[in-house]
Amino acid sequence: MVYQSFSVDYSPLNYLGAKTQGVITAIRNKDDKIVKKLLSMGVHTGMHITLEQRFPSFVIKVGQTRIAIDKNIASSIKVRVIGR
Amino acid sequence: MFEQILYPSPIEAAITRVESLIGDRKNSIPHRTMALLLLQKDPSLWSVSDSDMRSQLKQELDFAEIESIIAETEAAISESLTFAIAQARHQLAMEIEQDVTIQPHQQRAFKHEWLHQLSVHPLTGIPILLLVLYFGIYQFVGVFGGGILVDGMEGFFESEINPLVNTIVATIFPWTIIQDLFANDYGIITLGIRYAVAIVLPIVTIFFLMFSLLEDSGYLPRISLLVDRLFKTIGLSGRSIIPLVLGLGCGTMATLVTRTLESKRERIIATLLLALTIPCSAQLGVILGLLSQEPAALLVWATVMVTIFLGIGFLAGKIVSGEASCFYMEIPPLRVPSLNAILTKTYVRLKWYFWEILPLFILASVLIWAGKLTGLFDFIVTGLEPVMLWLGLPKEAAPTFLYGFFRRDYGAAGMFDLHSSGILAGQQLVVAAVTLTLFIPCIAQLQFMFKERGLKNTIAIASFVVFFAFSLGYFLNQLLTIMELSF
Repeated sequence: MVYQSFSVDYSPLNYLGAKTQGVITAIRNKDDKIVKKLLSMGVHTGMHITLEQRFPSFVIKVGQTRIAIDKNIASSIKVRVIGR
Repeated sequence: MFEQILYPSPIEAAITRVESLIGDRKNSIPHRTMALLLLQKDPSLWSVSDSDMRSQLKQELDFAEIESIIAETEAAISESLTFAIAQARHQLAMEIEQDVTIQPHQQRAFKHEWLHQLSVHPLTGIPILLLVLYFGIYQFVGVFGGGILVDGMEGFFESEINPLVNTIVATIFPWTIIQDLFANDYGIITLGIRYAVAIVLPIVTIFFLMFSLLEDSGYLPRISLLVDRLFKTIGLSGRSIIPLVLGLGCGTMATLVTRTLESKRERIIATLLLALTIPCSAQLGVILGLLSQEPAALLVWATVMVTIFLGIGFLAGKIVSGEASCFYMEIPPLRVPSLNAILTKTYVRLKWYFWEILPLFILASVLIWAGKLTGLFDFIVTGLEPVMLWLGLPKEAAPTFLYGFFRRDYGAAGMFDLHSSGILAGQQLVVAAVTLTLFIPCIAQLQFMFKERGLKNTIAIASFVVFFAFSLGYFLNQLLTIMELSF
């Protein structure tokens, strides 16, 4: 294979623009604690997610919950984009 | 009736296997719960600890066997077990939610949406933050609490209560020594209780009122969100803004609250910054009250404090080892706070605070009395006098620094006294304000630092703070003299 195309299924949240909507396809972080925290706040695969803001912190809305996260945590949420 | 969650079958099989490993040991925790916790590698069950229950558990449980069960199951479901278990629970919770809730208007949930957007957008959020700090902290706590309220109550004490107490005490006890214990310049009632009731109480009350208002309106997490990037450069995360803002009220309470921070590194840095740079509300109130008459002096004080906060934070972030901090925080909707809740919170905090400080204020009065009687106090004050002169301060300021050790606010209140009697003015006031703000945390804060951070960290932080406060006071005095700034 000469080049590999990007898979839309697996875009980390920190690469997306503000107001992007999508579905969470995976949550991966080398720090298990972060994954657990996200799960306990209701951030699960299959949930609908809206990236409301990127600066000064990432603000996401999952279900009825609004959460502020930093770039590192944002990069651990993989999203399938469904629109802006 | 509660519904038991049925996990995917590989997980259920794993639960059964772990349950059989636990056997029929008598335990207060149901076996299924234990099995689930073990499968999720719950740290309280897995970590090697000496607690009775766990060591007994460790002896009887085959951890290697559980480890292999986890590995097999994870291979079967090609997912982390923790993850799969959480997912199954969340699924059920969502189903229950769908069953029992109705959402009449989609719009209702976003009632204060526009206000939220304004408060978190960097272009509007930061000006709003500055306005909140200016009106909430400076105008309300500093000018109103520290200025108007303190002036009124302090004046009342000085003109009405103190002379009355002096006369009554003088008629009851014929001996000057006993009279001095209760009344006159350093008496329990005329100094200790006066400082507590007339200077510290009004400022702290106003601060706690403000803090409860910010807390209940849901604004605090939005401050965290706005400052997270800045705070990352000083080794902290946005979350630390809460203990730091609380520290503007009471450093002791704030030191206790640092335990809510994620990492040990963050907790140490926040404790250091609280001890060194964050003035408590009594200090802040008195300093703002004194310096606001000289805007240039206030500006110098504020600039020095912010520079030290960022500079020391930056260095501490480089020096203190540990993992980089991460930031996540749920942002609750903005709400109009309930007056009742605010008043209750303020009352509870004030009660905690007042009973914490009153004995120390009284103790300080007694110690000063005893110290004066034995000559020990004069000895220490004489020792401090050269340091005062070194800082360009009048030697009358020495006792203030000594009081400051008993309670930070006590020292600040002493400064208020010095200024009213015209001893401290201009450049000296700025140097004294900076040095006293930086100077050691009071006994109570030290005690909590020891409780929360341990002996080694407390000694390290305290000795650094004392050394830094006086050196910086010296350099600031030199710098102001060279620059020929006059206030």
